[in-house]
Amino acid sequence: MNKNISYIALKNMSARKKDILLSLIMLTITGLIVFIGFSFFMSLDVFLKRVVHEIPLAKTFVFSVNESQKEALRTDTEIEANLYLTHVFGELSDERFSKGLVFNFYQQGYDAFIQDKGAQLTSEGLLLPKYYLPDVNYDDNAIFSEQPNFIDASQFIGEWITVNFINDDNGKATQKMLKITGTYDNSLTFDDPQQALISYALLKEIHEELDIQNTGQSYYYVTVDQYKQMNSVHDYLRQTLKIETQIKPVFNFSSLTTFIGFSKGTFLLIGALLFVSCLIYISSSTVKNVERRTVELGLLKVLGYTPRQIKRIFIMENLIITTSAFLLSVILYAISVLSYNLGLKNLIQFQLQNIRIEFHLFFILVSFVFFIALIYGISAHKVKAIENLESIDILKMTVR
Amino acid sequence: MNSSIISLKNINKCYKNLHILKDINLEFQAGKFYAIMGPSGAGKTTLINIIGLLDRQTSGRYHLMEQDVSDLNPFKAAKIRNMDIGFIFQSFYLLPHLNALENVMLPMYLNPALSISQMKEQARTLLLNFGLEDRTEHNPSELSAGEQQRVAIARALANQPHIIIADEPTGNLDEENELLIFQVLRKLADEGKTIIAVSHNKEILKYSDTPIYLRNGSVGGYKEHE
Repeated sequence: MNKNISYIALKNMSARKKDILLSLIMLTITGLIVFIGFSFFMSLDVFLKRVVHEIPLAKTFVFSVNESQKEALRTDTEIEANLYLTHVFGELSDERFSKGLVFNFYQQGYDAFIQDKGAQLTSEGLLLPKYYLPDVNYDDNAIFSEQPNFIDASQFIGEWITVNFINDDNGKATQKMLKITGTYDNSLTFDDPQQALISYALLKEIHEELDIQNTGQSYYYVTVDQYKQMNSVHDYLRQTLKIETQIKPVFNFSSLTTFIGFSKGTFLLIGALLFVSCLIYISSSTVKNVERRTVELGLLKVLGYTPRQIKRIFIMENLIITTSAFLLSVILYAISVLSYNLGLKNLIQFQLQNIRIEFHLFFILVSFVFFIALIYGISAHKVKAIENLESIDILKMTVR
Repeated sequence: MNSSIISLKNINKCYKNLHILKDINLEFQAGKFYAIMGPSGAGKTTLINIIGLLDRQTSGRYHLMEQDVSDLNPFKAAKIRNMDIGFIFQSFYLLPHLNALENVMLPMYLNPALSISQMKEQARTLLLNFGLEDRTEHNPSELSAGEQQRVAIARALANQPHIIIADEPTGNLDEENELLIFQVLRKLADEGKTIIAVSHNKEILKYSDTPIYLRNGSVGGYKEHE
């Protein structure tokens, strides 16, 4: 008997292809709007955080060290070698940053060198980044009082400069004179002018803040090349220098945090409203669907179908449509998310893993339970309400 | 004399302040064609609703095929409606999204003894009997009114019921189809079915065995043709 009930439901559905297709499309679109809307609003929050707030800030943080830690830091060349630090700005009097064109290369093993300031070592000599901020400008206070003046490093081509090769094992350096043989395009890296300007502005802000505090500590400003490397730096500083508590990521200097906090709440609210609107749409379309078929319901009753069998037919039809629409929505959602993320990856020039729309599986499961429960409840309720009428009354109601 | 297939004793039906049926006592024999006639509001439809187990009397006893069905629960009533009673309506009530064959099969789905292919076969035979063999795949909108009513009759016969209840079966038909339907009902009665038809059309009297006149909820005339 159940088999026949399913057969009738399927038969009804295949006979009402146009209606079913329309419902399917509408429900699929609804599901898609809910999923993408939810993901978008959730991701927009993350996106704002990352792009507006965290990218420049996350790349720069400050930590303070005491004298012994400072010494350890000064001699431990692995900080730069292992943690891919592009720059370590030490105290402003640090001689490494006040002596014109000096480059350090950190030797690991026999022939591996980690570059300093973006300079690349070749068999002919040195390649400089095209957009270059020469160290000569970094005198005691100039770095925080003047706008950085990026210059085209092409002008240095042909010059001979001092290069320190620092041994990884003992920290001793040997000096060589090398010729600058060319430049490379660094406009898409952290060293491009715009990115550097952001960092500069932040460093200035940090410096002013710390100046006021005047704690007598030495401060180091670390700028990492990629957002994800910040964690590595943290780990390293924690493990090696035991200065965990003094690490101070630069997160508190932007009023954007508050804005993003508000935005997150707003996005969640919009997402919730969207979800509720879609639930209301699904409810009303289910109610309409049952009401539209009142005559069918009355007729089935006359023909000897029990209320339970009638309910089962209607619910089964609605569940099949809803489930199909749901699955379609999820597939389209997955495709959309994937395409968006791929597109984003190609469009965005900086290397960040986190700016992408997440596929919220948990939300999908919760929505599925909601949708099914809703369809089941409404179908059952509506069919029951109609079926309480006498069959003949139902038929008479609709006599043309 | 044949034993009654339907026996109504002192049937009363009240709805709010209205006394719709008053002390109805009727016996229906198998293989007879009964025509229920009377003015609007006489209680004809209420009477066939009670006979068809679609409604329940306020008082009185109703025996169907020697079984007291006066207080039957809805599930048993539904089963009897499905297996023993066929319904024909003025407005046909064919499901528009199903074709003729599928409409005829509709009552058969509840018959556990039949497979889908058997259902199709039986439905096809029924449609063939009514000259609709070339209309099996047509949807109701593609059929004439007369054809639709014949499909509806075929559906009423789907589970080979003993009783056919027809509520104004020719109300929406032209004269030609009207006669055709009466002839079909007559033939069914001759084959042993009990036909109970409500009609305003006096033409039915030519085909029925027993007219039953209802007036103000009471049987005003009831006599078998000689």
